[in-house]
Amino acid sequence: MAVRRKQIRELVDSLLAKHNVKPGTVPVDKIVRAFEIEIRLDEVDEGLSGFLFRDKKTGRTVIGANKGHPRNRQRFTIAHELGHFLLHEGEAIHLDEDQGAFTINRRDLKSAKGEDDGEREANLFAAELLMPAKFLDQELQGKNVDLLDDDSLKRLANKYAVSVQALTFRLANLGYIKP
Amino acid sequence: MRHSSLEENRDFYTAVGRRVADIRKGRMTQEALAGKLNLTRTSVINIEKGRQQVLLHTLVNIARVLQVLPTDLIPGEENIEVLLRDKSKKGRDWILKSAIQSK
Repeated sequence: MAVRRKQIRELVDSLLAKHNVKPGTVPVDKIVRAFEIEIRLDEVDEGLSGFLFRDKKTGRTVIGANKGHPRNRQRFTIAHELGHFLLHEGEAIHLDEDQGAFTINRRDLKSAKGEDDGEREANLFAAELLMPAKFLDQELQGKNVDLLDDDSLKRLANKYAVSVQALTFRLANLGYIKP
Repeated sequence: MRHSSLEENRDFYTAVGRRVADIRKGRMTQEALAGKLNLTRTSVINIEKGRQQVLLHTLVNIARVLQVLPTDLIPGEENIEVLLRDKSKKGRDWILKSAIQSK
């Protein structure tokens, strides 16, 4: 399975339109709750970032994020889990955690390609949702992005409540920054 | 195709074994079940403990002898231990506490 770029872009566009989202911080919590998904923020081990839990019998769905992480990262995690919810229907429970030495083996067994594509899709979904291409296009219109200084990058990241790192990655992905 | 170790699927086979044991109890002894399956009692004990990965035809035979459907012996999506089997301990604890016990 390849990453479904076009479908993800269309899905995000429809969500943004439905919630009448304007350039700036995307109300990810509101968008998630509109699907009747509970959000739980818990202080847990640093290595854990988020989970998606679906009870297929009752239809109850929960997204969890690590309260100990910076708010920007929590937002990205929540958007990432929403991506799994919308794109990967079959999966009842999904857990995102860093790969410590302990999980490398586990991970290797699983890195049959499909799963890595699943993660890529969820990441792309989160980036599209929190940093919509059409908004960034407007923000950067007529600007020489190569000359963007750290302060303007930081300002733009703050405006969208994402990390500078995530924004930089996104701009590179959209072709604004040459690798 | 991915080959999995006994350890990786331990929770799954523990859940299978628990089902076999729960259904067998009250119907017959381990010895009686072993006799009807042409297995040793040790094999039945190992299957019930999840220490032995039961073969498909054996599972079908067990179901027939216990007069249940083979699917009654197979843990599925409703089994939380199975769903969580490949997660880390920390992750499992988090999901259990946050999503399941809190509702």
